Amino acid sequence: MAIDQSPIVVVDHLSTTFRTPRGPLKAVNDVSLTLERGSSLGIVGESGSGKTVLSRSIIGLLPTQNVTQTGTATINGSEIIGTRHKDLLKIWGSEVAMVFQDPMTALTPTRRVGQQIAESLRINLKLSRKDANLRAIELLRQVGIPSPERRARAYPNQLSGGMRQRVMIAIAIACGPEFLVADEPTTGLDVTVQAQVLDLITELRAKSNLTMILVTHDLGVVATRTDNVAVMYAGRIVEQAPTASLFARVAMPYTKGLLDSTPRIDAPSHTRLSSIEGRPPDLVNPPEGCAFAPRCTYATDECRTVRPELVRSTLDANHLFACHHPLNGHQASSSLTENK
Amino acid sequence: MTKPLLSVNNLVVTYGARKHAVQAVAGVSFEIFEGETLGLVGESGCGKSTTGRAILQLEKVTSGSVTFDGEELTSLSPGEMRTRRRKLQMLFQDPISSLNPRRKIKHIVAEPLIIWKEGDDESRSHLVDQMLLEVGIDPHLAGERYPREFSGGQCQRISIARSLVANPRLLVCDEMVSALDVSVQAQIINLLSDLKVKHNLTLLFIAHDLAVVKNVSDRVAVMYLGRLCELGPSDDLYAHPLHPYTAALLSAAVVPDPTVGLSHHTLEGEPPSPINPPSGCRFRTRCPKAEARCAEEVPELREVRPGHQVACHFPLEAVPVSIQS
Ligand SMILES: Nc1ncnc2c1ncn2[C@@H]1O[C@H](COP(=O)(O)OP(=O)(O)OP(=O)(O)O)[C@@H](O)[C@H]1O
Ligand SMILES: Nc1ncnc2c1ncn2[C@@H]1O[C@H](COP(=O)(O)OP(=O)(O)O)[C@@H](O)[C@H]1O
Ligand code: SF4
Ligand code: SF4
Ligand SMILES: [Mg+2]
Ligand SMILES: [Mg+2]
Repeated sequence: MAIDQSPIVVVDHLSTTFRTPRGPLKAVNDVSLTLERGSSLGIVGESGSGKTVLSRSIIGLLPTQNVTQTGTATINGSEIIGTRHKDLLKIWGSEVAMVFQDPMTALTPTRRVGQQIAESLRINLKLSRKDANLRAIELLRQVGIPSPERRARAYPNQLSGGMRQRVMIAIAIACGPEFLVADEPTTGLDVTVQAQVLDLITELRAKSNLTMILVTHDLGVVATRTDNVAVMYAGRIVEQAPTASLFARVAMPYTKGLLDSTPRIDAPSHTRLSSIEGRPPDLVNPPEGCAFAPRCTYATDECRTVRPELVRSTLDANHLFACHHPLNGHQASSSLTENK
Repeated sequence: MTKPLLSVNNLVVTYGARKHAVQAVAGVSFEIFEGETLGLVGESGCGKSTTGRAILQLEKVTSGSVTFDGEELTSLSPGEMRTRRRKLQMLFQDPISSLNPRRKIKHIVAEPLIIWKEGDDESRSHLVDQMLLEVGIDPHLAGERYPREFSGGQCQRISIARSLVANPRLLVCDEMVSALDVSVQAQIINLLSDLKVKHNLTLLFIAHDLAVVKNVSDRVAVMYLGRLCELGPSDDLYAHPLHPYTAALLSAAVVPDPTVGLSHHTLEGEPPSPINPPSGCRFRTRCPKAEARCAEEVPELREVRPGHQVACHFPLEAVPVSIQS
């Protein structure tokens, strides 16, 4: 059998705008990206930067009311944008899986977790009740839940946060997906449990060549768990690079600001953190030019009037940035955006 | 060395009664010296918040003592405790919901002064403005507005102003930066460390984020299932942990640097239920070094290096003090 070499996910000039009482809010603004099969992309940025809306847009999991979208997003060649939820159900069940921050809201509180997994198996894989129940227990074992036969009978609120996240992962992988979107899957969990859950995801990905988008605000998680990173600010990708390249030679002052404000366990106690002053802009009234300009110490008049496009760096063609005054010797190799 | 401002001795806090009794804090002892920041870390449910609340007598202390500035707090009447409370303030994770939504910012910040009947309207309003300025909030723009009009970071600044206006000596900060974005978190951490010096504050800084705790603390205490495992100077404790649990926690933490990589010594499972804790050392069910003695004998906190205490029968190899940097 020939190995499919085509990218699994292609996003092209995607924008997602919400209608709000205050006016249109562009939560995702002209984003393009490509995911190769088996790769992982971390999406980072401050809260409200559009990480969740982007990752949900890509899989079509957005409310249908008050949303307008332009651009395209395909998964295995199928167009997602503009496709009705009814027609996406097949993809959600089989090709795409999701894990969210708060498993409590994604699980039905009144049903045993084993039943919830089995139900997804019966619907999507057409398994018999008996087979589905057996497979559910096997999946719980696979995600590292001790005494799975007993735990299958538990209700969500009888499990710890880490256990619930494992159940969510069991549901996510139940139908053998190719593409996993994990939105802050370990936010709020203890470091030990976080490591366990991320180890589990890493292990499952290796077994089945699973492609992943990992949304997180934790740069440590991104550094250790992803191949590529996209940094979002005010609805745009402002820097994107292979993970090693991003951390070795950051190009965007915003990314540098995030890194410098992160306390590090390997830095001496009382190391003064350099913070980014101010707050992200209001997406209903975004500033002209670079959206980061009001907070950027390098901002010039050009930054305040001309919006920097996402361009390739002369240092590394896979390192993209959107900045008029990039750091660390980066220079724009062409003014063309990614994918064009 | 300065004298301890706060001494906690063999503190026990029990929730529930009889069969359902849970010792959330099961015999904890530590001191916090004047002007010092003591960090308190540990996994969810280990008893950090309960310890913090018990110090302020917001939780009924089952046994043990809490001495603040030479005075025993556990034996005070509620009325007596109220008059002491202005010297001990607490800051929480969720600043928006801990501010009264129906009151204007200037009233929220002035409230402690009104409770303590301090000054007149004019002097109070002057003090409030000054305090807001100190935390980076413009009193003229913000004073007449309500909490919902502010972001999480700004509400945390307002909470800080409110807690400092009555001139406290000890702040108990419970996960106060945990819900904030790193950029804002850094702003608040810097603000707190400046105010600490300026107002000569002593801090108990509770958080589960190991990097944050290391950054702000002079010494760090590690808690597991209601007891302290280890307590020592921040840099020493993070560089040379003595307790297997501390080492496991540290190895699970990640650094924003792909060249550092992951540790493969992460802990399995989750802490057991505090309803029926393991005998002997409470960590033994997850400890890679556990031996028979660990099930029989409770390890007491003892000093094994200057200022560095551990509660373990078989502490990890301690690096001789002379070769530490
Ligand atoms: N009001 C209460 N009634 C009964 N049990 C309680 C109560 N508050 C806390 N507990 C229990 O006491 C133990 C310690 O809880 P505590 O809130 O102090 O933990 P923590 O270390 O602050 O955790 P976290 O990191 O999740 O904030 C836990 O087992 C908890 O379930
Ligand atoms: N259903 C919605 N209606 C209106 N605005 C929304 C909706 N969902 C998200 N937004 C807005 O879109 C922006 C991006 O949100 P989000 O993607 O959730 O950010 P992140 O995940 O990066 O924290 C924010 O300004 C948010 O308020
Ligand atoms: S374009 Fe200008 S304002 Fe924007 S990040 Fe670059 S230097 Fe800063
Ligand atoms: S006392 Fe025993 S079980 Fe407890 S931490 Fe030390 S070695 Fe492990
Ligand atoms: Mg989000
Ligand atoms: Mg707590």
